[in-house]
Amino acid sequence: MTPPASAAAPPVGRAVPMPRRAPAPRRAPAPRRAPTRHPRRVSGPTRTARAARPVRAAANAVPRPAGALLDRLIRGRLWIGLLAFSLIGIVAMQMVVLKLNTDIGRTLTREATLQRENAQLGIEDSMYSAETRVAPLAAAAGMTLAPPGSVHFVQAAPAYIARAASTLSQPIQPHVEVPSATSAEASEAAASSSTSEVSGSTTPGGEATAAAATTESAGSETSGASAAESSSTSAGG
Amino acid sequence: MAVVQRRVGMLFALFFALLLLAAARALYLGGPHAGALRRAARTQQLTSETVPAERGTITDRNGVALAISEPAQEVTADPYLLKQPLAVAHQLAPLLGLTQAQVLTKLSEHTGFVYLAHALPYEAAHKILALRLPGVQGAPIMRRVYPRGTLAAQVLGTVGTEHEGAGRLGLEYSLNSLLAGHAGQRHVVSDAKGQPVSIVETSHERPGATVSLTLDANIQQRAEDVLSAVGKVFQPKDSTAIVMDPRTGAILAMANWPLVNANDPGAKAIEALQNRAVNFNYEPGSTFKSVVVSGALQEGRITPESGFEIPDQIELGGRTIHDDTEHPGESLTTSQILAQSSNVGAIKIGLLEGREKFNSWVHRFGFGALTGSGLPGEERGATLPLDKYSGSSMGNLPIGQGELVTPIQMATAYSAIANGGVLRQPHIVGEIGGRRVAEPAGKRIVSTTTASELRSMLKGVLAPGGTASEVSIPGYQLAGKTGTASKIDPQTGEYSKSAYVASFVGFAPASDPKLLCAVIIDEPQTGSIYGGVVAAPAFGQIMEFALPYLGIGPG
Repeated sequence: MTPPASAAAPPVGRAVPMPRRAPAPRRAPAPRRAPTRHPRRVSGPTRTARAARPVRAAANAVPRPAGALLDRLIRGRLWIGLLAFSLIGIVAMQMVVLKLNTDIGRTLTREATLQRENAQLGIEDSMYSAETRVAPLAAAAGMTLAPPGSVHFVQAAPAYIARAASTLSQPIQPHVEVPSATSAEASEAAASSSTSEVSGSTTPGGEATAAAATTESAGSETSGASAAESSSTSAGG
Repeated sequence: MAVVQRRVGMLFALFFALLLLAAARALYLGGPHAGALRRAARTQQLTSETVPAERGTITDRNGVALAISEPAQEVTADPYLLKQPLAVAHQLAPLLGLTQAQVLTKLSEHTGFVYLAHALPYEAAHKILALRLPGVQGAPIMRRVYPRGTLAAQVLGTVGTEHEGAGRLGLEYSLNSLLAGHAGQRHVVSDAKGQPVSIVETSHERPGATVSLTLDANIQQRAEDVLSAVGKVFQPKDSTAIVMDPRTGAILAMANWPLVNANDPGAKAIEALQNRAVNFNYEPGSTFKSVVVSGALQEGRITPESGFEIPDQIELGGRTIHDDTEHPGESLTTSQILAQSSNVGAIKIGLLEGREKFNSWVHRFGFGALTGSGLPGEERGATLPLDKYSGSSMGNLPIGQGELVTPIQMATAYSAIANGGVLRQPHIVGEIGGRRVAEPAGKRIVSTTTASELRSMLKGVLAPGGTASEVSIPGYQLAGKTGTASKIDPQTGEYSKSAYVASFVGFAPASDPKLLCAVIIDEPQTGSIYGGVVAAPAFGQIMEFALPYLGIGPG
């Protein structure tokens, strides 16, 4: 039944008695507050009232539940991106680790190869420098071992070194392009150069060798002997 | 809308079913089948590799590699896994350098493990492993290579195939702890293609140290060439030569003949692998006379000019000792006794010195004890204890009979004469791992005056009238002493009339010696037996090369 208009809209300017309130729906009981504790009355002089402290907002006083942030996160769309990024990152890291391991494997293989090549080069170096190999080649190039009696040595002395150093000169043509010659021509050239060294010609190269030989270093082959000879000449002269 | 929902539901059901299937499969693989898979993974993907340590290189004093290691493989097979041994043998034979029959014999053994090749060069092994034959495997090892073949083979020694290639003879044996290094271990997980996806080194490999010797490859080569030439001419049983720097005791060459290829030591008898320079005990003969003369000079019993009446023979303790050649009684000085190598003269000097003093000088020169060279297999020689001297002992000991010495002992003793009277320990190791080995301190045994007087007297041996007068090097003054000692015949126990040891120990330049060379030829068979004819020319040929090569002037 519809209530009467008077009941629905009270007349303006007239005091209307407060209608009886309908019973409020039952709400969840409010959290119990701790009863306000009033200071007990004590005898004695009146104390000055303390300045009231600012009361923090209730929202701030109550800590936010830990799951709330996660809830907000996973209910949004951001987590999809984060998850995708993490997954891609993990896969990428795995890939990098795998690649690193493969690289290590390759490096180890390369190390072994280099070690093998190094050993092989060491062996070749030793074999190629053998007197049994060099002596016949030198003989074929027209070189002979200098007879011991023909080798002369000078004592190294500061004056000799200074004099030898003063005779050093810059090679005229330090780098000459030689047209490709046949092996016969090359060996002929080598033979003629060795002959000129034996005869003690004073080429810039010869002077340089003389300077080196002043420190009593001797070569075993003809070139060494000629160096010693020329050093003897330069020092003795 | 309902259709869409139904489809979504079906799709979900499908994926859920697939997920269930995957979970079931995962459970099966991780549960009942896990053991088998784990075993398969271990054999197929996970390998535990030994990383062989690179054995240290042995070089000469100029850095020329005399012994070097290179990676190789030990190729093995499990004959039980080979289904067609004949076909496998056909494939492997040319790569292993064996006949098909030899390979087939190995592959037909009733065992799960056979060696197909020890220390196979990497290239050949790689070709074999690339065939991916089931049951054929390779294990990385280091292979020892001696690039110069025969050069100093008896000094360098050999390494074995077992115990990670430990040294068995020579310096490879005595320096094994330095050269060997430590092998490493690593676990490798490979993918299906065999590419390593995880490598974990459980222990690091540590290569051996490089050892630099005092030997000079060129002088060593010359010494071996000269001994080979002596071998052709005089056909001795064996021979040895030592070249030393008397000022430091550094051994520049230590040659042995017959030559042995260090890369194939099994090709020669085990005796040929011995380093005779340190383990050959022989009666030194006249080279020992320098010891008795040194002692007498140092004691002040004689001077180089002291005169002695020398008869053709002398009788002592019931024994008669002759000079080498018959001669009338003559008067010789100490210098002449040495130059002409008079037995009677040396005995007279020994008698003048007395047995106690003589015995002490023998030991002072280092005879009867190890020289401390560090070379393996060194012998001490043998000297007669003083209490065992008989009435005739001083009749044979001063002339180098009745005691045993080694070539290295004799070279060391003469080094003391050459360097001014200091007995220095010979040594052959110059640097270890790039660090110089400290030269051992010497011990003065005679005064510089005595040493100088003796050097002057020893020049006479190579001068006209001396026992090695035919040996000379233009421009250089040489000094030394010849020795010709008859050997004891093991059949009769008497001195042989056909087996001799010819030797020469000398140095140059005589006034300030910088190089010493000892040559010992055991039992020359043809031509001559005398030290002055057989050994002294070899000394001359070695020194003729070595002196100018080392930049040693005539002095």
